[in-house]
Amino acid sequence: MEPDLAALYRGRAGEWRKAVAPYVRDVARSGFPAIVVLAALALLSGYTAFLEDVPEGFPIVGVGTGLLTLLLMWSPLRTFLRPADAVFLMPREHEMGRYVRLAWRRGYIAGGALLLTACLLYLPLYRQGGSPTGAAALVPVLLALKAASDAGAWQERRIAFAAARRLCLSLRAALTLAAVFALLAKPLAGALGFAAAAAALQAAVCRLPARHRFPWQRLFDEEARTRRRYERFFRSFTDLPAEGEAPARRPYAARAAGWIRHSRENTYLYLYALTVARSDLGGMLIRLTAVGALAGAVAGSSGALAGWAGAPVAWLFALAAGVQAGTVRQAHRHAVWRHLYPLPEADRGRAALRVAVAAHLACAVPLGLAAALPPAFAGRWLPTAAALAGCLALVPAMALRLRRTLAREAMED
Amino acid sequence: MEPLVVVEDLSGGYSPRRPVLHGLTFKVMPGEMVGLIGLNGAGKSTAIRHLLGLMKPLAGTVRIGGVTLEEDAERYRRSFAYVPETPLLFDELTVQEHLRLTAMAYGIEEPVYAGRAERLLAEFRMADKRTAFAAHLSKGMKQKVMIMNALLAAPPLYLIDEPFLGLDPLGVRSLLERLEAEKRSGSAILMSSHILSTLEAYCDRYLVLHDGRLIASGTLDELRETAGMPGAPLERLFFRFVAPEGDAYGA
Repeated sequence: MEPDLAALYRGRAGEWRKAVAPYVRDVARSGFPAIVVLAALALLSGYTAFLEDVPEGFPIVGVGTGLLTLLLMWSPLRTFLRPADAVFLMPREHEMGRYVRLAWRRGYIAGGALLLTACLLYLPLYRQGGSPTGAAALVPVLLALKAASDAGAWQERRIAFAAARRLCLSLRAALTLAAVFALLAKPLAGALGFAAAAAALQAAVCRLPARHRFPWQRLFDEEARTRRRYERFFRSFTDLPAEGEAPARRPYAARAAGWIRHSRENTYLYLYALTVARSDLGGMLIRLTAVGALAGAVAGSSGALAGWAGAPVAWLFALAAGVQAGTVRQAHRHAVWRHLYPLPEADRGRAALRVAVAAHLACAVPLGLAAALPPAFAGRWLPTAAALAGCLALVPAMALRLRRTLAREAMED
Repeated sequence: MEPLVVVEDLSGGYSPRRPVLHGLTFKVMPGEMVGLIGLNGAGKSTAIRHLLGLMKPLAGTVRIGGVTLEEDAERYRRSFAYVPETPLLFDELTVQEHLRLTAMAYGIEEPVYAGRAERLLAEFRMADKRTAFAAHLSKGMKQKVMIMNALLAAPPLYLIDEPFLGLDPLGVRSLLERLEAEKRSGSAILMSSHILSTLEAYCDRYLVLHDGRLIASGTLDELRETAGMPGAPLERLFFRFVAPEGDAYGA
């Protein structure tokens, strides 16, 4: 008898939870949640201080529009589909609606919860800007917009060609931005009318390009990307074998590998430099630096804690970047190439260390600068120096830690 | 002339209780191409894995370039290049970067690498793919990268496992022509394949494996003599050796 697809989805979700449970325990034991809670408390404290004295002319609607649009546009879909399903589930494509609806519901609940949290944080600020719409009306409308946006994201997944898909995504982003702005800045009735018209326009445009009935390949790729992201995260805390990763070209970062001298002792250095530049690790470091720099700059600009709010934010992100950069030592640890090619094994640890330090420094400098510049502009030199020096000091400190870890792992090997 | 590969009384496998290989003994000399043939499960890949040093022998020794892996791992590994049945590449490296990494690993000077890489890219019609990621290549193209890596290293010995799978006809021809050239320059080649007609056209000697045992070896004429089938092609000889009573061609 063929399995019920809804039961299959639930079973796969359960298997996933069971599979990651040991890694979640490792993360919990690592002290990482405590750092996150501390960072959240620090940010919350800075934000509360900021709410008490919002500067004149602060772009309340602009900030809310940006934040809420980002959350509305984020539409993850966890399908648990694997390429083997092209053999086993494809013949049941006509029934896949039941399967995907569960995935969609799961994504909507997660996205909706995040949206509600953001509203909870944003609404006190919004009220200070002479809000035309009350929270009681705003929240349900935002949740409805979230559902419409998720539906739009599904239609985009079905579009066969990348250019058309990107066009529809851009249109959805522009219309969502406009609808959220209207909702926050204009009277509710007019904003609702605009949002409905925008949703209708988006739905009509998305029907024009060639579409798949069910976007199998897109969902396989998306699921594989999601798994890799989880694995990359868990690998920071535990030894997890790597699955194949989709590389990103990133020529601006990969160029550095071209500067490495062509010699046998630099073989691992060359390999690791390209690995950091092109793999998920590089992407994660870039994202971490971008988010950290933004958070550090915002916290530093808020003037909270006498200009000191940005420095600890930058330190935390620099610390996280150092931990992440150190995971390069795990890359290719189990690669068969090590046994087939005469790679200089004695240089492997040193190469991993050099690449990790370079990558950490490349993250620490912008993180430090982003948190240091706002207090510098306000003439507060101590927090400026502390933000920058703290981030830079973390580089040798983390290098020392990584050197010890490498020595320990070499002993274990 | 010293043999490049000396395998003496090699028994091996994944479990000491169930050995796959039983007492293999053979040599490969510089400047010769040896075909390793056998049915699926005969032990060809296991034998190659033992030569690569990926598996520990249960008994016997494997010497490449005059040393065992335990005696001098670096010299052992630098003595050969391996082309596996399934390409093993780094997804985040481009074709050109794989060639450079290989050159660095084998200690090949940059100008030499640059010249060889260009020649190989042209020869295997991969010049327009030099900046493509391995992850984005077809199976055949990945196999070409593995072959180019091996040829770039120009080692004394090539270990090649089923090289023709996924290769286009021009790729097969380029590979065979290059292997011929490498053989003439003194390199040895040990190649496993099921395409017996190709092996017959290019190999100097053959090792016939069956159920983990070396049941016949020698030149084509020596195999014909052993089988008592003068003038028979390799394919018929092979059937005679592995299925003497049920020869697909009839005795």
